Amino acid sequence: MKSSLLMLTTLLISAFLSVKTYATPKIEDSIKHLNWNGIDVVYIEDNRFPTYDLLIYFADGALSDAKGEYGSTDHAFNLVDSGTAKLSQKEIMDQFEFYGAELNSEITHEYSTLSLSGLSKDLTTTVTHACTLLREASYPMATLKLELDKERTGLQSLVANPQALSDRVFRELSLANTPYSYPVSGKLRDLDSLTPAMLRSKMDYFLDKVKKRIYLTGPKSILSVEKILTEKCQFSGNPNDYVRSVNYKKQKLNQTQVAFVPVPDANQVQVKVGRFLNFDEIGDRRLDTLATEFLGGGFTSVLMREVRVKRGLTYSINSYISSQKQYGRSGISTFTKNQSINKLIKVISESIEKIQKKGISNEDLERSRGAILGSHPFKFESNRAFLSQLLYLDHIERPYAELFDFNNAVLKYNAIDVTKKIDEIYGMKNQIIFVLGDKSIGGELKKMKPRVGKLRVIDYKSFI
Amino acid sequence: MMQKNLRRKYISSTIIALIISGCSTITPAKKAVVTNALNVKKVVLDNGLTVLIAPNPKLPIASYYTLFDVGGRYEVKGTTGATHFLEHMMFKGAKKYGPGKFDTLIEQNGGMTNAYTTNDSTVYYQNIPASFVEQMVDLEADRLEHLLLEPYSFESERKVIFEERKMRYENSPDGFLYLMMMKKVFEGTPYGQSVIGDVEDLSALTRDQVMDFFKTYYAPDNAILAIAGDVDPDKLLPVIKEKYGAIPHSSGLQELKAKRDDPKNYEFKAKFGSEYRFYATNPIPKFQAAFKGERAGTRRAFVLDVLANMLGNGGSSYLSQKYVRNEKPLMSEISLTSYNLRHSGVFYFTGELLENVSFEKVKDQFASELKNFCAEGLDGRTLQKTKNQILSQAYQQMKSNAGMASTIMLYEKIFNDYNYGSKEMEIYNSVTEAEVKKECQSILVDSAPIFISTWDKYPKNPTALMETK
Repeated sequence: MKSSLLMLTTLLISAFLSVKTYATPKIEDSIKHLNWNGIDVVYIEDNRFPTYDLLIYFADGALSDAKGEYGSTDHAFNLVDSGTAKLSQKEIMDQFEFYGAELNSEITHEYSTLSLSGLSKDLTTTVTHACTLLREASYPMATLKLELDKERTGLQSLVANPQALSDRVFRELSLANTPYSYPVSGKLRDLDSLTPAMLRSKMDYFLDKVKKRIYLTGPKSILSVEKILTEKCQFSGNPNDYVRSVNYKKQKLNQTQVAFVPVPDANQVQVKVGRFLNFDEIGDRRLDTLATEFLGGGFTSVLMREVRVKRGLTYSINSYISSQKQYGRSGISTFTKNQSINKLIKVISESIEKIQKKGISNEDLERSRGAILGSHPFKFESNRAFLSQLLYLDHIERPYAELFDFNNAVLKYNAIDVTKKIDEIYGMKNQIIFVLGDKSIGGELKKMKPRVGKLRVIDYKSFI
Repeated sequence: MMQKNLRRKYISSTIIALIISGCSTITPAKKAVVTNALNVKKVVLDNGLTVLIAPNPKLPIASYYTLFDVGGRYEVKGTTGATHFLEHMMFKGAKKYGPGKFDTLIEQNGGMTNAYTTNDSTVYYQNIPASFVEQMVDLEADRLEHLLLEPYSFESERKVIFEERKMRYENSPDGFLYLMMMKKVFEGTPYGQSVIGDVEDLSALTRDQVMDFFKTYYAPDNAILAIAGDVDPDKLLPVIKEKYGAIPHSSGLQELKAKRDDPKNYEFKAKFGSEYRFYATNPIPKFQAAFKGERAGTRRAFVLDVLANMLGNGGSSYLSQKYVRNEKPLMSEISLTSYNLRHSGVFYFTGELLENVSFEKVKDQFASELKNFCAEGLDGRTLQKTKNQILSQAYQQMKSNAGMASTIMLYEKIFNDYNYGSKEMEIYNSVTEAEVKKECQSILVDSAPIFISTWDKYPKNPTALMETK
């Protein structure tokens, strides 16, 4: 074992040596498309380091969880290392940790991803191990109970983490009455219903019924993983594999609502402004990026200037438009001291109204345009991040050209386009204004002038 | 959607602090040029500025890091938070690039900029297009030479820092617990002060005090500049010499630092074996048990790092299996950290109980079981696992320009050798099981911790400290 470390140290040094000679003339040329047993594979060769990154995409997510099994997809993936008939959780974790490998999962409502990374010399061992878990995880009752108890503790403790609690509650509130509002991991009350059989059945569904894609980066030698994935994982693809799609009734807020969530002893108040975006409100993501950069993207954005630089009301403020295949969310996220809550909301409202009424200057727009054009190459710096973007584009069924033609697309938008986008998405007439803070804030919110919307007081406990 | 990085970040996390801390004073050879396996060019300017450039032509981007050897340890009662306040003010304009220009120029060219302050150092960093690097040199040199410290923005930024303080500590039981642990463990030493500053000090800090800090510590011979990315050192170095070269080196700073860094100042004065309880909003108790640790750079520091990883890193680790993942778990999480600062260190457990588990029971059980950890939790396979994990993490760190620039800058600071990575791996590789067990015995069996906990069931008055031992 000692000699293997020495060998790797040598490899590490030689990797540094090779940095100077590595260059990719055109980033899209590095993408290779393969097909393994009916499954589409996207591979990016990277010889700089003796490591690999593997992403496995499944075209379904938490929307597959029926009532009574909420959170089962998330737990089936997250607890895939909880045990098999032959291996305990400790033995499973020890195998990955011994090789410095990492197995993770990410579940959204629309799709799921399993990721594995490690040293390429250990590829066969670690990927075979992962395949064993996918096929044989039994989610032993005793381990499941322990993991769920930990989760309960974490949820009960959320009240002491105002930022995390506000993220969770605001997400559900702003997506209310849509198929996407319920948390992917479920709530406290759902944890009792999760069983080993339910999780095993869910994992089998994903492995055998759902469409998969594979994304891979590392030295060419790692292509040997094909045999492991097709034989050990038994991955195959056919045209009938399931792809999640939803029909839902469009949502429309007719007026802005103010939701207040009291928590004990907070001397800082969390503020979010945003709403659900229907499928037909999802436009060109390049324009979304330009608009959010302008409004709340960086230190020179409109909101950062108005809220932090000019008035010192917060440490941080940002805006976003986040879209999936069939829906999206928009938001502004910040915090301030208790006494400044009304002033903060007023400044945000007035900043947006000013854009709506007076538009934006070309000079200001060019600053934002320069920001996103100049930062675009950073999206390719990490091959893992690069792969994730390709995975996302495949999921939303958009061509990779959206990534590589980014600059041309951004250049075609003008100040009127950005003003219109901000008006459509962030106009203050149909937003959820979310406030989480000490109960004394309720009185302050009632004094808010001009009143921006009806005030609702909400108990956070129904969201955990 | 991922949130953008918070700006003007104050980082007190263990990871950053671990890599920030250093142990040696740089004694540069004037105009020395060194190149070696890491493909880094090192130059020390006449005024003492150390410059490291690591070319990487993969993409037209670069990362630009500047470290100043000043942190919370140089503050005194009444000026706590000055270093961090200065870090904020460094973004508020200088002579050539006035208020608002620094951020605007970087962002409109597609870059991002941020900074962090620790007990030992202040680091500024930018991720920028390669075409902007020369202008970045001009921007950084301008604020190093001619910072404005405008009165208006000084007051505005004071409010921002109060909000940052609330976010990181007052409204975060984890942050508050860490803050109190550091205060108690390093009480009476330069590391016992809050880096972000005590409220009273932050309220009273004046522009003149912060300007004094700037004039005293922001000198080229107290800084390291590291650039990694699509840059040509032969073309960039003349630009760096032109822009930074005329900035005068410090006067009397080395003597002042030597006085401040007198090892006697850093000798532990805290009462180990004590317990402190603080009210915070967490409904389930959290705790830290902190022992005397080791300063960075010594062999013992490496051994303690290995020890902490062996016992506490990962779900299969001894601590996780003993307290979190067994048939009768007591905690939802537990970790072990060896935090090596430049002149001292702390070795501490962090844990959160499970719901409905008795805090008193856990505390007593944990205290009585500490002495068993060395015998039960350390073996040859776990040692090898830890070494493998450290190597894997090293690869991850070097995959980006930011990781490369940050790493060589910190190695240069800590070891006076930007290429220390390979030596570091040799040291880790040479650590033996017997060595780890010996240090484990010394720290966990032969000494006592300071035990600190937070809970919403404790008295609310923040001054109502309960010292039970």
